[in-house]
Amino acid sequence: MTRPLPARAPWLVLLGTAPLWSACGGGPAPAPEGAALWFVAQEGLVAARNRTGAPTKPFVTDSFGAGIALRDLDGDGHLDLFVIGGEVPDSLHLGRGDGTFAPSPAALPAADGSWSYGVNATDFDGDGDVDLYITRRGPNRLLRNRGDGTFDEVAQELGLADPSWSTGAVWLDHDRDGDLDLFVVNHIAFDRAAVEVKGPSRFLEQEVYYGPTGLDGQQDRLYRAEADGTFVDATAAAGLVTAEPHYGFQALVLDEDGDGWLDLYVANDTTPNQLWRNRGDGSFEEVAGRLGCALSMEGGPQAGMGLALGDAQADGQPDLFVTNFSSDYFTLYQRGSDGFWRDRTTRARLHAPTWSSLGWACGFDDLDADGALDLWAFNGHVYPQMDAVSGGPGYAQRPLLFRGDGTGRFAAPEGGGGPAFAAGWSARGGCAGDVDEDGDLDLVMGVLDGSPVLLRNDSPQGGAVWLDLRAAGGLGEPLGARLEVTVEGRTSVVFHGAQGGFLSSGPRLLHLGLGEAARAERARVRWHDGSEQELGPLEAGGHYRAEQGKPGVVRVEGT
Amino acid sequence: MSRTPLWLILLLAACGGGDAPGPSEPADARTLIQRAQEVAGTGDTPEAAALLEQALALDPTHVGAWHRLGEMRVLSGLPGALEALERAAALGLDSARFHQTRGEALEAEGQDREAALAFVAALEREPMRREAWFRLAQTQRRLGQDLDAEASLAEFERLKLAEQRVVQLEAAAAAAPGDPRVAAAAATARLELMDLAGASRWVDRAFELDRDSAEAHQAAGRLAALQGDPVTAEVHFELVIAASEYDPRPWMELALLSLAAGDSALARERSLEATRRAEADPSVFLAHARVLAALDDLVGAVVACDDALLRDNGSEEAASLRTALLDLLRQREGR
Repeated sequence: MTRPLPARAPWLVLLGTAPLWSACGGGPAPAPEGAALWFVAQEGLVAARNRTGAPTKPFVTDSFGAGIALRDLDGDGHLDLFVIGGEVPDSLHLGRGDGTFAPSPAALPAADGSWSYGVNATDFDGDGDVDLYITRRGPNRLLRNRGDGTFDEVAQELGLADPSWSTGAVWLDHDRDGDLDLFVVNHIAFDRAAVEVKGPSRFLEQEVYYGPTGLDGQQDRLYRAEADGTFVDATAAAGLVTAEPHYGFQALVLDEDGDGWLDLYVANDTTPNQLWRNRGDGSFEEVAGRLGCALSMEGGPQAGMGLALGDAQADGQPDLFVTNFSSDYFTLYQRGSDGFWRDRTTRARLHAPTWSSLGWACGFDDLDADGALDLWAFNGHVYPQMDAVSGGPGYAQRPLLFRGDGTGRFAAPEGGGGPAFAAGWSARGGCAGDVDEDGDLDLVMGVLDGSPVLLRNDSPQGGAVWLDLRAAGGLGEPLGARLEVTVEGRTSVVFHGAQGGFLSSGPRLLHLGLGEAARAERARVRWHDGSEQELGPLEAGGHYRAEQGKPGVVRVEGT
Repeated sequence: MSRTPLWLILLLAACGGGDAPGPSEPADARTLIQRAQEVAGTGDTPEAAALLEQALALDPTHVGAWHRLGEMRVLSGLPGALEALERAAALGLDSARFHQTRGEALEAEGQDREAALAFVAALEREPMRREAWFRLAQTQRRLGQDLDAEASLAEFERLKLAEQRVVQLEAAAAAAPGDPRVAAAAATARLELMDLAGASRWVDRAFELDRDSAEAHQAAGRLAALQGDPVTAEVHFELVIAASEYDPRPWMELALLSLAAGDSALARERSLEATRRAEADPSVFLAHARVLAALDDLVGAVVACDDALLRDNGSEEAASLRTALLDLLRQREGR
């Protein structure tokens, strides 16, 4: 059961101002016959731009950031876009539901002069609207939504203004007390004067910025929610203090061992990745080295940047994808039923195709709804000097797209995925969501020193189900829940609210590709707190809501 | 940040240079293999595999090409890696690198037990293959062989540190080109990795700078011992003793030479001489414990471990050897 391509003409009308079609010389190229995945890039999505340091990137502080959030922030049912500004103010753009955005008329609370890097958009207080936690090199911010897309700054008041250089923060109810705690990933201690003394480094014969090697990593922090709504630093009590702090980039929430307690995986630059296993008593132990997901297949630390979580081989076990530096591979770890993680990058056929890229945001998403997870990654080098290297990796880099076959193997799609995947950008943040509400997953890219880009999905689609999971009590979002879905006798797992990617935050609505099947004959959710619930069959084309503790699902309209 | 992977270094080292032919020239097997090498260097391992398949269609007896085809298929996730490696084995290939590649192919197929055996085979041929130790540790963990995995990982870490020492000392030698002690230290670091040729170059350099350098003689003695020349080794160590009466290292080296020669009494005597000069250095007492253990003096070895622990209470090596020795003693006593 396939759906025809969405009509193009209304797009051009609705956009109003003419979009700048990139990489295709004047207009979107039509998808060739038989192309399974086809994306067209739309620049000029919003007027706001990110700016993070000088164009020559003299310091490590200038090399990343550009997170985005794609969530409904004003409660009108359409996805809105929050853009991390870096050294210029962050900005909110309200979605019209047709793939276009208008600047929010309300001003955001003023910030201090420190630079912003990433954003996590989550209803942290369970009041039904989405709040924004913004990571910065300086005190982090928490913008609490008043319910209408306007915000109050509450980080200092609640104890969440972490002063370190923070990167990818994630929310989770780690102690199952019914409220969300916050894990903040921190990067390095940066002292510009000290770095200037150390002088530049060299890479591929070019003079480039110094760091992170040679600089001190900073301790990641866990902030535990208290009954009065404030937070306390529980890092030491939770056993999360490391002797030598890593250069953290992004965390991700999952119940790795299926014991009903949420664990954390952290991608670290140049230092081993960490898997913090929840002991169930409010504390964690680090097990990545022992279980095989800390290092490369050669035993060395990689430059972990972005993270994706999915069940790419549909075996009921989580798979982790980590984007890394150029002249190295992006790593696919697959968890076996024996509890060990294996580096399956070569088996997945991802070693060679990722070798030249320097990756950031990434995701497992079923972009053609054929029932098998696909994989995307946004790229861009950290050194502008790479443009001077003959045959080098280049500064702007193409995003990568791989079509999954449902067995854990991937291949470049026919036609390369369309013109959006033929052009180079300095991409950093990114996430997937149905921005134009045409029933498929588009991709939005956060661009360093640039404006976000929409990669509009024009791929032929199979049948799909959309599912909104709601937690019981005052928690709101059941982050870390997992859904077992059986389609034509084959069961796979979908992970909810893992919050991976890179410094960005996408919609929490689950999108389940069904391919030719008319329905998912069975769906069962294991909630964030370990409780389980049968949801029953889900029909293709249906939009559903499931609430913890209420049997079955409710069919709703709209995405 | 980025690193050149071991497989690529090995591949480039194994293949000679050469100009690729123009697109219009007919390609022979050698040319195709060279082109595969270049393509692999860019990370395009599937294309390299395709080129090697073409080369092997022209020359199916090229053992190196079968091996490299196996490597490229492993890295590309392509089927047939084990089959290609079997062809290489049938043509007589039995190198450490071959066994490591075979281990990787078996690991990719989920055959951990067979993969572990292949990694062991690689390490039997080349104990300094750091990556093989890591791979072996990973498979041992999955097989539930936790103690073996710990030991493999410890060896992996030791080699990693040794490699880092080489880099640091060679950089120091470049920064201080007139200092024979630094050149000798670089030689010693190379010896830790069993790189005898590299060590030999640094020993020569140290002697060029100072013919009487005790440090150079110490490194030269160890090099000669590893090259199987105990007579020359003894001469070098005696010269170190003559230059520095209180240095325990040449005494311990001499003890090891005596041990290898089967002269137990002399080995014990020389090892004791080393400990008399050791003062606060726990490593000498640990080495003494090993010599005594080799001489089957288990009680003496435990005491030497205690001496080492007295000087470094946190020495995991000394503690672990002491535990092993006590276990052995209990077994012998029938407890």
